[in-house]
Amino acid sequence: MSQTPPGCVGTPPGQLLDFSGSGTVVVTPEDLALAAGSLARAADLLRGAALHLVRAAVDPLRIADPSCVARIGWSQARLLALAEQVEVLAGRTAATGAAYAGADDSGVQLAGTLGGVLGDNPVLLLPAALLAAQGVATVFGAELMAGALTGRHGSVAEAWTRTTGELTQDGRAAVLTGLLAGVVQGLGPGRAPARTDVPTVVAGLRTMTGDPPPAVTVPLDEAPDLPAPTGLADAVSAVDQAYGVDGRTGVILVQRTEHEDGPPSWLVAIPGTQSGALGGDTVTDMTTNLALEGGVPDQMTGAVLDAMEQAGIAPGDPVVLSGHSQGGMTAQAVAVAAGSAYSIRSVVTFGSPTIPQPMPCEVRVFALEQTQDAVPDLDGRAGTPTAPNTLVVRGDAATDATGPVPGPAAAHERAGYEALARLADESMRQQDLTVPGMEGAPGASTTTAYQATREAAVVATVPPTMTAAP
Amino acid sequence: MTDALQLAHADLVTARGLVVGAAQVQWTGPAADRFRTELDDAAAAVAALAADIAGIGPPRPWAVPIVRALL
Repeated sequence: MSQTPPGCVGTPPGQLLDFSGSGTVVVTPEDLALAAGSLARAADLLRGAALHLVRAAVDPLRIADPSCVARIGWSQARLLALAEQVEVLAGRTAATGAAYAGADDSGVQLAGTLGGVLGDNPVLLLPAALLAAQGVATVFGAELMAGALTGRHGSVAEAWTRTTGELTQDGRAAVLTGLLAGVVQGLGPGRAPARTDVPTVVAGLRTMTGDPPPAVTVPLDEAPDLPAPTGLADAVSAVDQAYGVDGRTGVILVQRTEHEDGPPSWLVAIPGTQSGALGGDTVTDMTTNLALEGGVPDQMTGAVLDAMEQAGIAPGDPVVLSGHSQGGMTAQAVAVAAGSAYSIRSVVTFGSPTIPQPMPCEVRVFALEQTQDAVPDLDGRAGTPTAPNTLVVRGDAATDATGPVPGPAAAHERAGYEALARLADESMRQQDLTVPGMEGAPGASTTTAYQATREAAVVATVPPTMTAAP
Repeated sequence: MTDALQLAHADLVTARGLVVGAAQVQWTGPAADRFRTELDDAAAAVAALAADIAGIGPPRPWAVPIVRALL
């Protein structure tokens, strides 16, 4: 998560709960090229050994022993098959190494392009295309990764050209480079190079796109019935429900759970990006993405705080904030903005980039990320840092029909994260760990839904919450 | 000339070493896991073949004088 501010004395160290194959991708392309060479040499040796066996099979001393000849013949056939298998492995290893190396080069080139665009023609950064930046970057990143690992593309350049071909025709590619550079470099060797300039660039873009129309937060008549939350999976599931309330966008669910021996606890569920527009009726749009990633004020954070106030959360009541993708960034921003107004105990994010602001020391962060999900890398950092008081839960996305590597939808979808959350819950139970804010036996639970919207007709019906100073 | 089986065995031992060495490359992640599994399988198959060839052993003692007489 974000870096912890100075003065967080006694804050527990960050932890990583890794359910993936072997954690973060770390690779040196040059090493892969050497490995490919070794495998090619091994294949040659296997073929040479098969040739030796041919000679052995015609050795008169061996011919005198029919069973010996049979064994030699079988070994020879097996050797030739193995040689072919190892040769294929060598080819795939070389292709993967080249793809990783290409990704690194592409990242550098894109960073250069971004610098050029910013310096020469800032207007190019305005187009509405940025609007789909997060989604496009996700698709591109996942496609690139899939291509690199499966050899579907001849080169990263080919993948880049194919994926961005349509985008470049209308100028969108130019404005995507900042985010893409972060993604591409995130997929490169070691996913190591962090692009610390991403928040600065994104904040600049947010400023240039102008302010969106005003938004309001209104209560809704209906809300889904949610089970009393007891762990991360419930926090993830609640957000999933927020996506599907009567076809509305920007729905915030606030769940109150009673406890016999203490004040009620609260779970606030926040959805992610639901519109690629800048400034339409939907608050969970690209304007909010840019503001959150740029570390500047956004409407969704205010909307969540409004919903919490309308729901009647008392300052001392324990609160858990949960969000998917953009919703995770909003949850972080709310935790930062809440200050002493609320007792935010935990923030649960899944598939979310981090925001630039440091998290409060006392807030426990659970950051779930599927290793194949490129969205958490859109902040320019490879994976979520295991900052103090943060538990990073990492796992592999389920594969889908696209092959051995999950497609972009599978890697970012909520269902996969719910499965990962269940794994984490089970592991935490075995260690007697709980999600702060969800301790104790839960009692009755009620959920209220609120909607953040910029729809003019709705905005006109809501009295202003602030009056001008006299 | 050295027995061709011995030469084949030596090649297999070297090939196995190369495959095992290739698996040591610094690369982690799900794809790397699959890569290593395939290499481990290949190395095991090569080792099994090498053992099999080593087990073939020298020509049968009784065959030597017969073959020499025929030649």
